[in-house]
Amino acid sequence: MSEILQVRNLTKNYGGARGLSDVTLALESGKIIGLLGSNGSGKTTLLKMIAGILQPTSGTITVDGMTVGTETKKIVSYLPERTYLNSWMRIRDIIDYFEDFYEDFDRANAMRMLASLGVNENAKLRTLSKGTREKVQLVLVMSRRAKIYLLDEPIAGVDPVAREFILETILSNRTPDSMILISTHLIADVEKVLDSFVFIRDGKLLMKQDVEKLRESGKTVDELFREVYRCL
Amino acid sequence: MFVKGMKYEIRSVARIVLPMLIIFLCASMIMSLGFMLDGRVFGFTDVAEDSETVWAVLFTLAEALVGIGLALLMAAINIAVYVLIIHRFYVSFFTDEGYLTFTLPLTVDCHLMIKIVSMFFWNIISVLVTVLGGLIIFGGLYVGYTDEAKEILSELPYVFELLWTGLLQTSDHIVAQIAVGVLALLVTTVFQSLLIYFSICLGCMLFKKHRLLGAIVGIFGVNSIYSFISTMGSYLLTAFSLVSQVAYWVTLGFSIVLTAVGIAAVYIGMRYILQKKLNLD
Repeated sequence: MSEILQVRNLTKNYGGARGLSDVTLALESGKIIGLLGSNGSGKTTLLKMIAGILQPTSGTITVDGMTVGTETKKIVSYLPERTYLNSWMRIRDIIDYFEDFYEDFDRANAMRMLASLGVNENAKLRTLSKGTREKVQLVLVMSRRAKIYLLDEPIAGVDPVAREFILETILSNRTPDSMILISTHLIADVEKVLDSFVFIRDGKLLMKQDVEKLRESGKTVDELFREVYRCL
Repeated sequence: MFVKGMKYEIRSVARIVLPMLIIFLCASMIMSLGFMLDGRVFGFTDVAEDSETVWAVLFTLAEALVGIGLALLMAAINIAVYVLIIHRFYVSFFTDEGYLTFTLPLTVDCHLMIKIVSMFFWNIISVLVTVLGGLIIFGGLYVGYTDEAKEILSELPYVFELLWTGLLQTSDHIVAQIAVGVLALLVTTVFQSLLIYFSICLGCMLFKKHRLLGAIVGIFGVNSIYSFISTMGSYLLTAFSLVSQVAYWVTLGFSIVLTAVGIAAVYIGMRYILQKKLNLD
């Protein structure tokens, strides 16, 4: 598989604090990759920069051979860790919104998934529970036929049943040649769906490895994570 | 993409502004109907003038109150439209909604143009609705007091002629002066509108942890500086106009060019902040 995302010497400073420090990384298409690290390790910062809503202090990011910008936003589907939808909008308005702005949006798929959630398309977003709003957002993001999906903490703060729904939604909606980058610190829950993983801590890249190879050595990602992060 | 963006921007403001404008038009119609009924059916105004009957006095008093209420309502609506548009700018760029805004495949220029055009669109709409409300009220007056209204209308050309003659006597180049004045007004309006947006961008950039406070401080801070500079400029203009007509024209021309440069500067400033300095929490 080709490298769809290349990050070179990426650094992000927030005033005096360092968000990311000289990160170099290449990720292939067709894989589900876990961006793993403890809170404040720089996962969200990295995803925001790939999504194009945060500018790096130095270094470069290329998505499918293009520098991050308007063109890359057409092929990157980003799920932030917070609800960004207009609460006064109706579900069908939000569907229209995504269909209008994203050429790769699959309306039929979105409607099917929302129906399976029992969400009425005439319902206003503000009338839905927080958990349902988050699921609606995930449905919208995963209904794009994007080349890259960036999912920031998609299973944080949700119950086990909702976690199952979220992981199932991610797996059943991805296109085979797309790359999914999932940021989380709940490793045990996502481990089963990962092809490879990246460890990040204090803004620095610690390691990148295939899950298959790790399993051959008799370890799980969760065990390795605890081992590595305990030592540091 | 610009058209699509405009569609959603206009819709988001319309859901609050349209009901307010409809209320204003309804109130105008009620007042218009009041004038019609008074002139054609009750004749309270005449009775009030002649006999000071309690009901007649109350009716004319109510008419006056509705008129004042209507004027206040329209002023409130105009302010609300302005505040709403500014609020939309802040919300869609600097709150959680920014995550959606800035992941859309639109350039920063496109985002900014949508906000700028939307601001002018809604300001023009509120002005047009004010004029429409005025016409509706005048329509009621015309139907209710046709003779008096005709008399006033017939005198209007003389009033305008008188005003125009007066203006012609003040200067040899009045047409040119009015044209340049209108140009200066347009340029200043555009600049002031952009300055509000720029103030929010600047405030939110400087106060990352308290963006709303930053936006408010930005608006008041930047506009205070602008008011000081523009007041000094107008004093200067007045002083030069006393010296000579040429000095006046040079100063006015210079101030228009300077404002146009200001428009470019605040636009570039906003573009820079949104493109390079935006950091949504």
